[in-house]
Amino acid sequence: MLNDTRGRLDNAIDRAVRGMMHVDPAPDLRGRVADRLEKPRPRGTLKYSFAAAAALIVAVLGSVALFRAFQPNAAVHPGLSDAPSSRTVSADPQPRAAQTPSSMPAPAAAPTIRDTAVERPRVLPRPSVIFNGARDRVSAANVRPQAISSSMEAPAGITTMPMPEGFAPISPIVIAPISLTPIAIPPLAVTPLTVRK
Amino acid sequence: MTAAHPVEVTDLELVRLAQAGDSEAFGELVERNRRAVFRAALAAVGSATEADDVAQEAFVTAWRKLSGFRGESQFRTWLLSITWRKAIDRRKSLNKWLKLAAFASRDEAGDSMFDVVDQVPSNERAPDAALESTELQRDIRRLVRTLPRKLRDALLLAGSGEHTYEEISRMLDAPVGTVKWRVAEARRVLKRKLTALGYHDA
Repeated sequence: MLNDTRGRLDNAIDRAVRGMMHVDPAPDLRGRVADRLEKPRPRGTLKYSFAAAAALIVAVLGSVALFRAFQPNAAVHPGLSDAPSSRTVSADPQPRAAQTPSSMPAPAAAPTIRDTAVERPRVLPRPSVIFNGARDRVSAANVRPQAISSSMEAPAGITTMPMPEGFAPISPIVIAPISLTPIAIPPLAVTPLTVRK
Repeated sequence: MTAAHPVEVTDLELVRLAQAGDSEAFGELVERNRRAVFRAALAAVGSATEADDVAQEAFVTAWRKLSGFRGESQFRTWLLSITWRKAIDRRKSLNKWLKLAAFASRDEAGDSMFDVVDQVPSNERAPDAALESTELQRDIRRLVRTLPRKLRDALLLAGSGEHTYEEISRMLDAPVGTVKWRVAEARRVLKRKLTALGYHDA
């Protein structure tokens, strides 16, 4: 590019730019590229490792959350913490045969309220001694309130005892069915603006 | 490699072989284009060490993307485009670090790469370089670093001796006429500043 017809500064600029740019790469560039081509991609491997670790953590956390969500509520009232181990009460209206005398008739009518919304058994604290010595015959935990209504006569061989004072009868848990009622939205009335002077 | 692929083999034939998995053929492509790739990177990042890393990255990327090369343009042009993108990414990354290190205040154009990275060594010295004023050469290099980025890129790529205007046009994503104007404008700016410093064209 050096040219006698051009000025001194033009030639100096050409020379300076050439000096900045006429540099050759290191001679082993081809070998280094070949080495890189043979190696697996480290960044990709690292990415996959992080992704696998993240997926594992998510799976563990998700399984813990699901386990907790489906675990029955086993909270025990603090005042009954010294009671015997809690017992699972089935939602089945029929009392257990092992605790019911064979002469006891079936309940007069099936319970009118059946908990269908909650299929899981409920865990209730085992009652302490509240029937004096008769707890092995009749228990409030396995006889529904309808079965021990005052109008019903006790079967032969069953001794009923009056309810001690201070204890209210156990009322069943009633879960009302969900009813959907449309929401009535009153019409929006827009009145024109009036300019007050 | 040279025995398997004689000198007459074109770049496109080597590309086809490389696309079929022939890494030796790709090695030959690296050998043929390594200087052009390196100097393109050097024009962008201003450091031989960084340019070497960029060139290596560009070749590796080209190998991985080689299956997408359809031969619609020359392999060299395609490769230089990859190189330029890599180099610009590196320059941006370096500029961030340099700004964090508070070294950027000396650059009038806000692009301080050439101020702080190691100076580009020159293996080829013109025979009459000794006759030039050392001070003038130093001032020109300093002024080149202060040129606006677009002018400086065009000037350095054109002065690399490895790239045609068409290749520079593809790299800079600008028409050839625009590239030529940038080169001429860069020279005008340099001469004006040199004149202001007391140098004369005579």
